[in-house]
Amino acid sequence: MIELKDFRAGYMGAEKIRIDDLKIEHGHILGLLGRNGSGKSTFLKALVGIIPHEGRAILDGIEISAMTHRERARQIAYLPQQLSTVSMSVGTLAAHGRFARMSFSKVMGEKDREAVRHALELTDLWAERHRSVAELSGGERQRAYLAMVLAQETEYLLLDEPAASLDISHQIEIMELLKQLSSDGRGIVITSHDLPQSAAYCDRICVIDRGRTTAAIPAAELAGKTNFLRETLGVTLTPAGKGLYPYVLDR
Amino acid sequence: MSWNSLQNNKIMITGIPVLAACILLSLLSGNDAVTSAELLRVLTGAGGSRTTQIILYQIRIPRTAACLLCGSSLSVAGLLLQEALSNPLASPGIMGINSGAGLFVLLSGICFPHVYSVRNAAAFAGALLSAILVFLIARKAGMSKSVIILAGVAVSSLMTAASNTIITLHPESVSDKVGFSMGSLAGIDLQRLPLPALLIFVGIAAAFFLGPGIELFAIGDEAAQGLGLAVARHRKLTVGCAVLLASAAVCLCGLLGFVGLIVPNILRLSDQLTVRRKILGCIVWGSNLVLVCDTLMRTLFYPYELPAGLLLSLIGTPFFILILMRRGIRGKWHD
Repeated sequence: MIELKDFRAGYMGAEKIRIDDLKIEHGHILGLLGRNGSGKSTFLKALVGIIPHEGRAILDGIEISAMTHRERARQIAYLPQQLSTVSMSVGTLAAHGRFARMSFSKVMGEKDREAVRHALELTDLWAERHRSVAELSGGERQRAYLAMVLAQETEYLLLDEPAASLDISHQIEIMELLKQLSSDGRGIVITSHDLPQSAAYCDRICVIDRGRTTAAIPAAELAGKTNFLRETLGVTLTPAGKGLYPYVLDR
Repeated sequence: MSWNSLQNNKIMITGIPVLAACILLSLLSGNDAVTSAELLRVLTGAGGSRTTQIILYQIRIPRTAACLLCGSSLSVAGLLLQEALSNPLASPGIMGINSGAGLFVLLSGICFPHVYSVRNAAAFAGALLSAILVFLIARKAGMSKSVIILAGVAVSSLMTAASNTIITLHPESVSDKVGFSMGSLAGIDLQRLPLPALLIFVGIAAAFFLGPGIELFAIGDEAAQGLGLAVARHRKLTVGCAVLLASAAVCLCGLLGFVGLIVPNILRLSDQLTVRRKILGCIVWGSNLVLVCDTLMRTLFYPYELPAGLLLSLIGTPFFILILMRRGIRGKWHD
């Protein structure tokens, strides 16, 4: 479990986000929602040490900022929102996920190959492993990067808008995959702008409003909090009756 | 061996025989008053005159070794800079690293004329100073790819101007003025080789260990950090390693430019090569390029000898323009 207490982070000393109390648990998907610029990405970056944080972020009893990048990367994987179009092959990209797992010589062993293969199979890219990432569609590229962080074999996955650039059917595939990974025991945090989708797939939702987080709300209770949703996100949820997701957007 | 690894090894499979041929050619040809046949007899241990032995062991072998050292160190330095900055135009010559090292070598020649080993430390300090200046200027000016190169050109001009002032005021600070400023392998003696050779060996070994991390620069700093790479530190170490390699080369051959631009750019055309393989490719093909240029320049215009750097500039400048045009067409200058 990752426990955050009085967690603050920002750029150049200016506080951008403040989290009083939040737990990231095994076997759960936590959805972070909020308007543009509310601090969702800042939070994920601070958690993996790209920007420094104050306050406490404790992973299984150890403060995250006290870990080396390598130690942290064995426990927490992070996928940023902006992904580079690289000219390496899909297989090579996925193999980079093993960076923190490999010894000093950084030569892939049998276990590393197996993890990369498994990650490529989960993301349905094993057949595409020799293709260049530059040739892939936006959705395939997103999945290739997802394969990279899955190959990292971490307990926790922090994914910044993992479904944003995908078409609807691939979005659902990714969300189903995340659901499966969380039921295998991984703790997952995603940021999203898709409230009905998050309500359908996440276990708990945390809304970030101008840098302040609300308590994580069980997704099932979210639709009932009409005033809260209207104030923070400007929309509400209403039961869908039938359809892809249990709720649809409403004013 | 799969097709993929055969493709990967093509660079080495062709490079090593060419290297052997270049080494032999470099040892056997020249404008000394001995024939190649005589040298070959000494080389194979079939006897030969005392003069021939001296020429081989005191002149030819050190010179060939210096070609190998300078060729590999400068091209690996260029590769490291290009990878660290994701910029195909980065190279120790263009970024002012060579000229910074050169200036400090001249200064140390004036201050400590008899202590040769000080030159290596001075070269490293000068090269590092140039690299830091380039980054400070580039950071102020926006850190885009073209800005880094322009900052490099500015620092390079400054260092070269300072060097020329010293050469004019203290002509005794350098034995071969043209050779030093163009880059030349003439007049290498055996005593000067070991220290730069050691530094180059250390630099290349370090580059080899930095290789897998350097690979991650391509996927972006944030994603790389997520994978467990201390990106800022790794980039500094990579540039530091390039500075070490370039400064050691400057101690041997002066301001030999364009090796660090041409060789890594050709190797970087392949997307399939890992950084470690590119380093091996740089060692082999960088050596080949310098050996060929040096051998040509001392035999073509016999009895005159021109600095190898002259030919490298003649090949390198059109190459530089070619990369510039390729990049310009793709419009990737402002990322």
